Amino acid sequence: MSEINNKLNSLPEMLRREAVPAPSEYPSSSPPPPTISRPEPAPAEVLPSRMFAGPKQYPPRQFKAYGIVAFPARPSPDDAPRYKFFCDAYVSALPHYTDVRAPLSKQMVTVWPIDTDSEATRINGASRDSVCGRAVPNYGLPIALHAIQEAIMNKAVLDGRGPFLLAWAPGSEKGNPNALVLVSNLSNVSNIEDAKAVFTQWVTDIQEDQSLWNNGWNLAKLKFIIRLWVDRYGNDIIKYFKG
Amino acid sequence: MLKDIGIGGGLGALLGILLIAWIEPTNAGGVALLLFISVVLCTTIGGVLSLIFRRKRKPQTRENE
Repeated sequence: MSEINNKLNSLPEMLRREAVPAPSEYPSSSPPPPTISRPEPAPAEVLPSRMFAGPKQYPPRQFKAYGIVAFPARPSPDDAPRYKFFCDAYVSALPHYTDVRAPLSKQMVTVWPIDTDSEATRINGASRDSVCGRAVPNYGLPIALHAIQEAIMNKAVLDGRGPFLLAWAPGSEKGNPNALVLVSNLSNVSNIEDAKAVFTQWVTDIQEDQSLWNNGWNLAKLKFIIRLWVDRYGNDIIKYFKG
Repeated sequence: MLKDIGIGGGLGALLGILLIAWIEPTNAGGVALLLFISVVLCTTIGGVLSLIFRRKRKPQTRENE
């Protein structure tokens, strides 16, 4: 909270700096630039986005950083609904990278892997309502397994049924043991509301980032993790007793 | 012993209700599990504590006799 307040307090100063450059910044012979300019986002700002990517389109190195929704297995008839609600939550919480009004170099893209490049391109061009019907059956397992492997190389602990949200910063350092890896284990998520909450939190973490990039903890996160856990196992126990 | 379980269980139920209000589980299973864990935990802790205190009190009673 205090971090946000600090940012807000420093905002007028940033705008002033941009509006009135120091005289030494431009030659005396040329006319001075206009004193009023449009405020631009702070240089450190990273905007979250999403894209579907095939084997040759991954990793998307043109982005500032990238992540992946990595399931350890392809959907089967039993768990396909779970994949579907994750996809729906992913699509509803994250804007497509073409809809984000920022260059790719300022976006942190979260990838849903697809089996083939051509299918990924087709899904990227499809309307939002229809993408999950194609993205789930064409899930790109080899890409996901490779990403999980590389996250494990980065000493991430990935146990459970997944999916895992994995991100590398900077994106080009994926697989490098020194690269920072952001990990979110969604194994305990059992309904679309929780999935949406996780993706919304993911978006917030990307934008405000610091605590989770550094594996930080706070009370809200603890509460959320407990809720996911009791929701999942409570449901399982009730199902067991109902037979 | 039954009295200890009753007190522990009551405190556990109270803790469970507070936890439910804070955690806000999204399904009935989550609510039930949270309540169950709180009751079991408080009953166990209550039982262990009463055993410890009973052991401490016993030698004093013998001395008085």
